[in-house]
Amino acid sequence: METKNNDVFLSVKDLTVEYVTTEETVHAVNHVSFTLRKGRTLGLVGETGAGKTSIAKAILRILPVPPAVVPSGEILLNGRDLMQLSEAEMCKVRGDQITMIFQDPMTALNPVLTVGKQISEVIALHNRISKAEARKRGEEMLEMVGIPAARYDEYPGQFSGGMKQRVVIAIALACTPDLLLADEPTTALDVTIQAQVLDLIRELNRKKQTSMILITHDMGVVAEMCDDVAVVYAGEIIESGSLRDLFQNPQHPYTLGLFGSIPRIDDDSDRLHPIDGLPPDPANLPSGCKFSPRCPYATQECRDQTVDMYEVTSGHYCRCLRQKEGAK
Amino acid sequence: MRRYILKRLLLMIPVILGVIILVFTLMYLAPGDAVSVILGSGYTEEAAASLREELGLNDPYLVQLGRYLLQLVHLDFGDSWVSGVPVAQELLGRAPRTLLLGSASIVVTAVCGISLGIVAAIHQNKWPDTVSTVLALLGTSLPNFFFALLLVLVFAYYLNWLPAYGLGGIEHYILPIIANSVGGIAMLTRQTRSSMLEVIRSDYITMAKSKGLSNRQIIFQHMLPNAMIPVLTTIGMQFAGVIGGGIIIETVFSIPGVGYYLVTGCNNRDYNVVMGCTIVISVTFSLIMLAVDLLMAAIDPRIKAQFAESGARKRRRGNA
Amino acid sequence: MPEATAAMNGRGEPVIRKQSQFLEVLKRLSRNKSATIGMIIFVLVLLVAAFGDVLAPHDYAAVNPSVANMPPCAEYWFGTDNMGRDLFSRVLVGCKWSLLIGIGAQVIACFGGIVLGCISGYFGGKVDQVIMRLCDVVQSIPQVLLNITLAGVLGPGLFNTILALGLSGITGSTRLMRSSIMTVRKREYLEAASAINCSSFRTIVFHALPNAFSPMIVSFTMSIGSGIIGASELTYLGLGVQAPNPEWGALVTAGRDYLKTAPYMTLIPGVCILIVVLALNLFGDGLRDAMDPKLKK
Repeated sequence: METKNNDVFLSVKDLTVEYVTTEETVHAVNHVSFTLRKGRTLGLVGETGAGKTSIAKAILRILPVPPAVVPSGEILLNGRDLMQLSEAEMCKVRGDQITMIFQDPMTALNPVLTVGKQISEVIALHNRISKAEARKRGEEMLEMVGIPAARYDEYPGQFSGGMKQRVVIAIALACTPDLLLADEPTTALDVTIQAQVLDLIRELNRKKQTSMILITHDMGVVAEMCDDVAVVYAGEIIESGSLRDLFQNPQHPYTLGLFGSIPRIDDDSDRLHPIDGLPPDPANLPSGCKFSPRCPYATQECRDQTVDMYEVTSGHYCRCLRQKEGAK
Repeated sequence: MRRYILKRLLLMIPVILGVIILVFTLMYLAPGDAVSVILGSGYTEEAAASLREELGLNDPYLVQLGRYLLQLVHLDFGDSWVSGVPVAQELLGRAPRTLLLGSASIVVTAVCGISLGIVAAIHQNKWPDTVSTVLALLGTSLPNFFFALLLVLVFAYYLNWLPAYGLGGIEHYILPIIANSVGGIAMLTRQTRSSMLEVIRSDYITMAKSKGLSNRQIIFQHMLPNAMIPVLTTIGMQFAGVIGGGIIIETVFSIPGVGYYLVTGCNNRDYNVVMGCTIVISVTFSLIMLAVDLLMAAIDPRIKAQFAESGARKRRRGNA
Repeated sequence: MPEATAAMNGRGEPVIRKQSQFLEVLKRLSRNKSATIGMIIFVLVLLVAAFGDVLAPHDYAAVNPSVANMPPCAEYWFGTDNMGRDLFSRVLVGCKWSLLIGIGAQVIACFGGIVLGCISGYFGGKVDQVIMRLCDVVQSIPQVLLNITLAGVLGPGLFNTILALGLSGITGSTRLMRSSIMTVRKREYLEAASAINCSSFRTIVFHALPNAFSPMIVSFTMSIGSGIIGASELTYLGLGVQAPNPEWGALVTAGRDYLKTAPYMTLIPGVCILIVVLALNLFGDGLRDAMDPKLKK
């Protein structure tokens, strides 16, 4: 899935992540490829356990090893393959060029270090500045995410969940990264705070021209935040394209199913339409199309044949045999 | 913080008083009394009666207790019934040996236990982990006097490297210190391993990694401060083991310390000695535990926050 | 299973739930290899304790100077002591005494702990305060020191050793019981019990206690080992059981004087203690994991 290559900023090719234990091998990410242009936001959408977080962690190379193994994959950031970097070089990329917002703010902060220390730490690490200056910039970051600088010396335990997530965001943005990986930044928060946090991220994003990968299972968040969307199912991208492509013209039965399971205010039906069945066990994936066991349109061919990505319209890709046949 | 320390110190007073009363009451209720110990087996009734009168043993319980407490205020633990030597004097003379054994043991315990635990956690499920887990299991299942005898057998009798018992140079303390540390090392290894593992798996370590910190920086700046909190509590508890175990170890190696004195006192039913030793050891132990608690409060922000909270809130309100 | 659901015990709680819980624990336990080994060893030790007197090839107390200080051989598997008594027989017979002390002490400790812990945890308030402050006082005396002091006051002897170890264990089990009673205290079924006018005693004994009991069972298992060690320590110091009794600590102590010439006299009973305590620790660890799967990660 090559797009016009003029301003491709991040390009992930054939990324595979497995978790290998003595009992089983979990295929978390299977040959995932996508690209991201400068300043754009890509939404990775999918159910819990689809492998979205593993993709993000693989880009940052912070997967827990063992059990995680990356047997194949190229991650080109401005043309430089991150997979080939030494650990020391990678340390310079992490926190500076690429940063990550973690899913659960309650556990993402170190409980025995002050929040200020945790912000200024990353600033001092990637900039040659004095301690006092790092502190000053740390305080500025706190103010920027709407926390009084006076609380710099307090510990995470003294903060509420929403404020902790703001601190996590402040850390992620402290070094004005080129790429921000936001892993379900709002899932752990109240609805009211969710909106605030999303606004905050979007505003900062716009100001600093940061590219972003937004991981979520919330289609509403996707509609609000993203330029492009990739739908992940069982460790594979099964449909990708612009926000408009996916929302106006979803092609893959799974994507259709996702929309079917969202309550709509303009729809009169009494029941939601959940997708039947459960996602496959990633340690024991079905052959052929991974969605075929749950797919109402599946044929024998779907179950036997590996399915490749197929371009529906320019820039809109789908991984479905039946769609390709135009048999829907 | 200062108020917290003061409060804790004040709270200790009733506990210590309680210990003294408890120990005194035990001795008061115990069968046998001073007379038979002091006078030996063949004594006349009159001699016994006059001695009872002289020692105030005919007074009511509360009077005797009050007298003992008054004595203690002057740091007077009475005289040994057997030798007649003041207990305080004996304790003072013996304390340095016990302190040496105890403090060296706790240092050895802490150093070995923490390092073994870290090694085990870093090499989880590989051979260093298995070895230290098995050693830790053996260490908790071994009576320490038996381990001491094993050490004597191997290092003193077979290898002839170290003296088997008695006093002398520092080499006389090596085997006792090892024997007194083994149980604590075992407990501490297990605790350090599990708390390191818990921290390794936690989100904030992944977060720290995502900031670009090196492995070394992560271990020393992010992991150790967290993992050390439960470990410190365990070290605090090990003081009890080291102090208690020290009593037995002193007896095994014939080191004339406070513990050995206590055991001799028990065997002779020399209650002044038993009371004195028990009280001194318990008070020392309480003071150590208090110090450990205060240290924890200084290190762990979660505890510190509890009593800093009110102050911080006041400050914030002042700013606004 | 209609019969099973119909089978209620006197309290109107279905019996079936309890049985399945017990089976569940057993099942989880049997999957844990080290716990199973520990359990098997402990069962063997119990058998030895029960039939030690019968199994012993010689009279454990028979003095026979002609065979004194014999190292282990075909006739005397573990050798003989300084008076020519068969060490193997003494170990077999001593097993029951060591276990008796370990278990006896824990029975006292747990019983005391259950009574005080239930009162403290269930009623709270002033009673709780008083009991807890008393525990603070007792626990500021290190365990071994408390054992020694109590044994010193009570004097040596089998029963006094059990009593001393049991008494000094009460505070620990009181705290344990109190905290687990407090976790169930606010549950609805206790409110239900008081709503149907159960007396406090009945509520505690029949409703709170059974639901707060599993930590106590684990602690009981694990503490038998420390009871055995504690007893052997007291005996070693001359404050525990007295001479003719072949409790294992006494065997180690008796061997001490011949450590240089006849180390087997110390080593064999010492290793016996080690094996039993190890087995109990393994079993107890497994039991804890099996009873509370939440704790195990």
